[in-house]
Amino acid sequence: MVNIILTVESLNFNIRNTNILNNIDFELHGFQVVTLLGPNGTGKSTLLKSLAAQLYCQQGHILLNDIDAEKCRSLYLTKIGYMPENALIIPELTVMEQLQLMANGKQLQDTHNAIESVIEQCQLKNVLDKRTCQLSLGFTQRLNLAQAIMNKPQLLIMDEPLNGLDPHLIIEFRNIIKQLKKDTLIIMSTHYLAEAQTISDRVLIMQNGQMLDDLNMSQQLEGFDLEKAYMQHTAPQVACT
Amino acid sequence: MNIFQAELKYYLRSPIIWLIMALSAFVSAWSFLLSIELFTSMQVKFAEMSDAPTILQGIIYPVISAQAKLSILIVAIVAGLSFSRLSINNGWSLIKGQQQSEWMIIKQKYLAILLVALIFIIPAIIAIFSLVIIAGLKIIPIIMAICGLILLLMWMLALAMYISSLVANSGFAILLCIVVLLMSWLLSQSSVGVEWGKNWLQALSPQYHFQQFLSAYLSLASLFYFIAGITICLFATRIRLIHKRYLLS
Repeated sequence: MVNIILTVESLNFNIRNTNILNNIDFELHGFQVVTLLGPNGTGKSTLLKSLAAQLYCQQGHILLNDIDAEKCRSLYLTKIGYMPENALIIPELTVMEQLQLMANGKQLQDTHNAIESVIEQCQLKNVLDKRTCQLSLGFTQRLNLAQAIMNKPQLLIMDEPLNGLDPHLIIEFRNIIKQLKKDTLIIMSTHYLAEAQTISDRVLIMQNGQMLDDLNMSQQLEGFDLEKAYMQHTAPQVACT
Repeated sequence: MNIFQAELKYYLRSPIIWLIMALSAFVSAWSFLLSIELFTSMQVKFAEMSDAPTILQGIIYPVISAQAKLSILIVAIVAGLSFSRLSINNGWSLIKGQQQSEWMIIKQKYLAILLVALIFIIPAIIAIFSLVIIAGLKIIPIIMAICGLILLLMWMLALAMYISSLVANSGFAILLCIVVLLMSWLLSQSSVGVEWGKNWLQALSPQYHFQQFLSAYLSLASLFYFIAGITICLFATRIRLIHKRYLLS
C-alpha cells in the first residue's frame, strides 16, 4: 500500500498586507480523516484552497509525497481531489455531461470506467440526464464529491461538505467518507463539532490564520468533549463597528 | 466532453442567445431587402449618372456594414458571458483545477464563442453569396469584405473576452463590452483636417480598419491591426487567468 505524507511548511498567504494564513506548519501521515475547525473568517477555506493548488503558494511549501504543489503543479493536481463549498457545476449541462467535462479536465486515461465508478459510489444513476441546476442540495453535493474523487486521489480536500445537508444525508456522507478513508487522506473543514468528533482521526484548530492546536483523537481520554476543547481554544470574535 | 463542447452547449441551450439570433436574423434580412428595394427604385436616377454605384457599393457593402454594427451587440452578449459567468456556480475553481494550460482553456473558449458568433452572420453571408451568383458579380472583393467582417468579429470577441475575465458580474460585463466596443467604433468618426497629418485616433478604431477591407485591395496595415489586436487581447486574458490564482475570490 502506498504511504502518504502531506507536509505544509511555513505557509503564508497575504492580501493587501493582511495575513490570511500565518506561518502554517503541519505534517500528516497515512490514510485518515483530518478535520479543520475554526471560527468563520479564520482562514480555513484559504488553507484548503492552497492545499488544492487553487491559490498561488506565496510563501512556504506544500508537499504531497515530496511533490511540490507549486513547482510540479500539474503532477500534484493528479494526486488530489478538491470539493469546494459551492459545487463546481455548469447549470446548462446534465449530470453526465458535467462528469465527462470534469474527467476531461483531469485528463483521465480511462474516462468511461472512472465515471461509472463514481456514479456507483455517489449513487447518481437516477439523475444522470437531469440538468445540474435542477438537482437538490443533496444530489449537488454528491455530484460535487463525485467530481472530486473521479481521479482516485491520494489526498481529498473538502470545504464544509456537510453544510445544509439533512441528518440522513449527513449519515450517508459519513459512510462515503469511511469508505474513502481506506485509501485516501481526507482533509475537511466543518462547523459540526459532533460530526467532527465522530469521523475524525485528527483535529486541527485554527484561529486568525494560525494553527492553534493539533488533537489526535485516538489519544484522547474517554469522555473527551471536542466542543469543550474547541471553545477553550477559540475566543469569540468581537465585532468591531 | 471538453471545454469547447461545454461552452457550445451552454450557449446553444440559453434562450437569450436564440432570442438575439432571431432578432439579428430579422434585422439583417430587413436591411438586405431594404437595400435591394432602394437600389432598384434608384435605377432611373443611376442611369443619368456617370459614376453610378454598382451592386457591390449599393447593396453588398451596406449590408456587410450593417452586419458589422449589429455584431457589436452579439459579441458583447456572447463574449461578455464567457468568463464573467464563472463567478456564479464556482466556475473559477473548475478552471483553476484544470490540468490543461491556460492557453488551451482560452483557445477552447475562444473557438466556441467564435463559432456561436459566426452562426449569427451566416444567414447574411448566404444571402450575399446568393446575390453574387444571381448577378454574376466578381467574387474577390466580396470575399475580402467578408474576411474583414470575420476579422472584425474576432478582434471584438478577443477584446470582449478579456473584459469578461476582469468582471465578476455577467450583466455588468455585457454592458461594459457594449460601451467599450461602441466607443472604439466611434473613434473612427473623429474628423481632423488633413493639414494636421494622419488622424491616429481614427486609426485606432476597428471600424476604420474594417472599412479598408471594403475596397478592391488588401490593406496589410489593417490585417496587422486585427491580428495584433487579437493576439494582445488573448495574451492579456491568459495573464488574467494566471493572476486569478493570486486572488481569494
